Amino acid sequence: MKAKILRLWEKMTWSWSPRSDREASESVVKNFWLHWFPSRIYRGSLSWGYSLWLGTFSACLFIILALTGILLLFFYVPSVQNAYWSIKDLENVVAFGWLLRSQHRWAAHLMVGAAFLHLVRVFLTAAYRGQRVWNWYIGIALFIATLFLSFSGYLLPWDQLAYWALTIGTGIANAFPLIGKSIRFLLIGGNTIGQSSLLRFFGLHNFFLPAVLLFLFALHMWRIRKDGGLACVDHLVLKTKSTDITVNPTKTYSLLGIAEGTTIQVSTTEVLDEKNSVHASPHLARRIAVVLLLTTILTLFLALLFPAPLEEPANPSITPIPAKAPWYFLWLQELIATTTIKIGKITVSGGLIGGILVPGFLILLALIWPFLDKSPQECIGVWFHKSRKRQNVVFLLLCGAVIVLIIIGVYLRGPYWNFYWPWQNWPTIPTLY
Amino acid sequence: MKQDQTKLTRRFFLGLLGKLSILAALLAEAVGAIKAFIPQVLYEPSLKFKVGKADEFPEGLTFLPESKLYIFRDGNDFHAISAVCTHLFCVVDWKPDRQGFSCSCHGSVFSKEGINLSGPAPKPLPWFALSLASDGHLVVDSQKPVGRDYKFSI
Amino acid sequence: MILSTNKAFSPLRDFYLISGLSFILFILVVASFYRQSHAEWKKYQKEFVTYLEQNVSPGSVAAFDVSIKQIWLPELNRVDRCPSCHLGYDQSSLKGAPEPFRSHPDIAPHDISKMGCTICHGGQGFALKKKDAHGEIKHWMEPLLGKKMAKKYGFKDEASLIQINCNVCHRRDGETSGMEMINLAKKIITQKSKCQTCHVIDGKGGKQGADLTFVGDKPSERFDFSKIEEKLIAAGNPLSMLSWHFEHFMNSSAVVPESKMPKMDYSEEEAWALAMLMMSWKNFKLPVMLIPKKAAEPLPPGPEGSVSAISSPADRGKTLFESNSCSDCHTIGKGAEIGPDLLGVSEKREANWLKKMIRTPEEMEKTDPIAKKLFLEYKELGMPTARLSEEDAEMIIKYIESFK
Repeated sequence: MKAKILRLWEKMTWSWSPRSDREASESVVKNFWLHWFPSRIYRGSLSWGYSLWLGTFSACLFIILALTGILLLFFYVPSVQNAYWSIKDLENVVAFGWLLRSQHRWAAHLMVGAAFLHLVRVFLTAAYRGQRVWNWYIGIALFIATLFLSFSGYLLPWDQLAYWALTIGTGIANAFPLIGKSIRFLLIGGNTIGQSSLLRFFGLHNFFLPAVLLFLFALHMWRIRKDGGLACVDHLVLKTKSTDITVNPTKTYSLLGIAEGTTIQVSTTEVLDEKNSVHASPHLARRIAVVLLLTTILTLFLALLFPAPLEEPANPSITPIPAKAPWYFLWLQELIATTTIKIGKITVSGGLIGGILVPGFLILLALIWPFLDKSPQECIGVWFHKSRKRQNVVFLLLCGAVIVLIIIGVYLRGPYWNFYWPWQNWPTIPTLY
Repeated sequence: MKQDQTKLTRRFFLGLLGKLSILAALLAEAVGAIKAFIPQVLYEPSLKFKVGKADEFPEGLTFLPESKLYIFRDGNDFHAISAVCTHLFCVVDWKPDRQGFSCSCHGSVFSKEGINLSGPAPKPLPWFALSLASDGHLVVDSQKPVGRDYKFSI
Repeated sequence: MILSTNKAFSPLRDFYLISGLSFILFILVVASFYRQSHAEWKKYQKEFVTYLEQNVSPGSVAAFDVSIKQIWLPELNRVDRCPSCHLGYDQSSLKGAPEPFRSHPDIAPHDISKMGCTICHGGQGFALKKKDAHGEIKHWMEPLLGKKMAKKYGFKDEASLIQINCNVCHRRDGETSGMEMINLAKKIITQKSKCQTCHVIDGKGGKQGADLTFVGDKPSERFDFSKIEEKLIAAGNPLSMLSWHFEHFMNSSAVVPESKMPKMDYSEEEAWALAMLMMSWKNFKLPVMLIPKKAAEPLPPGPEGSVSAISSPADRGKTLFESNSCSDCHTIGKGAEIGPDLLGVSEKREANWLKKMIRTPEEMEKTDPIAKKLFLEYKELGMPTARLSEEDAEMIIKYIESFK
């Protein structure tokens, strides 16, 4: 009996513990979940301290968002009359609805933060250099998609925050020169925000943007394979000279390598050997499982402690005082509130400068930075390399500026966007009774 | 059968026709898909609308929440100022102690005539043209902005 | 930091991590299930079962089903889950039970199964936690208008605030039993004060003041609290719409400096009653089946009596004088009020001037010097224009002349 069970277990988990390199290759190729892994990975890639596993953390957060989101989809009603009440029902009567909603919201906030930190890590380890610039671009696209997913998500409850965030957000789109008005008209589905707007963002949030994200994610993973692994592998390549491998003369091959001489030869810069690499399955798979567990625990814990908030039902004629975006957009709101410039007779709205030009400039900077970076090859895959000190400082200052703006927006801005020190009291807003 | 690449054969022509047709069809589908998203009807109040019987408006200002509009009455003279902030479209509040408008989103401050005094609003609040319908209702045309010396008298 | 490849790779640590983390996950999942299954309302229902077993016959308990109880009212677009805790509301035998199990007092002809609870009491019907359901949370606009709220305002009668919600439906009643404060307010506005002289109410009225038809819907952001904020805080009164209306009725120019509303000399009780009346004037979409049966009766006519057969021009003039609100501001021989005493006015002023003044007073106040002087003399309140023909004006003058 025991033998039967053991054999069954072995059959189910053989790919988990390959006994040879060949079996290792087969295990990933034959397994749907593991097929994107290489057979062996560099040991250093597994280090907790190198990448901090932030990319994996973001991906795990997305998985949680997708799972909770799909469940929420069965209870949420995307109609202006019913959206708010369907959320109330989720909170009150749907079994575990409160948990689904809170976990979804926490995972969303964490994902924006994790994606940003992942970007910071990639920058500080110069992991965007060389052919990895394509992955850097895909990553930026992923980050922007994450931000849009988050934005479209908190619009769906159709409470005061949602309605006015949509007003301001499409107001920024409106500030786009020439085509701004048309963009706003298409986004809202008309001139005033209403049912058509809710439906469009519902479609964007639930299908279109997740599809875009998944597509980009697949590309992102594929690029890692094509680039030879994480950037920390690169210094191995630098040290290794290409070696010749003699080929079995009785076999014929179709070659993609360089052939020299009259006999078939293959030249390779294969750097991974037994000493510096491990099988991807089980070790990488196990680490990813650890990160997934951690992520689940973190979001569950936060959801249990801090329930998701909900403001009053959307009221188109009263703007809440103050009307603040969630923290990850407050730097943007701070910018658009303070960057209206008067040059002689012409006034340029803060919506254009702070909402489009400044973020546009930041994105442009991110896109061209890999070409401005002239540091030597040794910097790639290394944290805080000396030769990159100046650009690291500039980058961190920019990040710091964004963080400072967020802090100002969260703690130091009160009703009518006036400045209040933390010890100053905000004026009391009268209530109904 | 050997294919002559230079001669315009039936095969080549039909093949080309087929490929072009597919391309045209795909393009047309793409255009159609994009066109679907351009609204043809709007479930919204029209941009020229009635706001109530002219002689029933009180002196001073009245706020119309559904139209996001302030109607000012001075005797028999009316003017209408939009309540939508020119910064990012929040609704401005009337502050009687200051005799002006304030926007609660980013702190723009406007004068009684809607002139932007401080804050991020780039332009003054627009004034709209008024007219009288045959049933005595005041009609606002939000597509016809007018100057700040505008007065509609009944 | 360049990572060394010499460090031994230990998968064992990962195993321990997975085991430990899985255990923590298990604990958290157990916690979630615990919270889900130990909802507040379940506690109350179990207590109810115990109460019934001890105080009522044990057999009645057998069929009790611990579940969420709600009254769903699709026509009103409401769901009231109050019965999930207030379990005895429809059982008359539980009159003496402790709250929240006590039976609801008799409110015939109101049918709770057709109206629900929150339409009268306020609160958040959807919610299943006490604090949320009673509306004692941020971001819920309809708090419970009950004992706690009444205490906040220092009202002796704890049930007085609920009358505000009664009047949302019973607005057209002249007088309704059980709504003492609202009845007092309605009496004031029909007999003592003439609000419609300056304020439009239900489509009729003057233009000097705001339209009050749905003033209860006006949010607090549209009101100016700057003049009364300190006073309210010092008096310990809540900073609310209800307080604003109270202060406005007591002394309107203290609240709105440019207000032309005269000081009405209301007592505090009257001012609170009127404030409650204002809060009840909401644009509420009432399904036909819930319209109060007494709504067909119009408000009681003014003290002068109803319009019947008119004979002499002076009589017709009298009717015109009263029905066009002239008597709201002018007396004939009883002294000046909001406007001058009209006794003997046809001897003081020219006939044409009088007719113009009656038919187009606002224009006269702008152009005619005598009218302008009167305008300034009478606190710049301004005489509203009524739509009167020349014949009507002559009848009114004849009526005034009939007084000696």
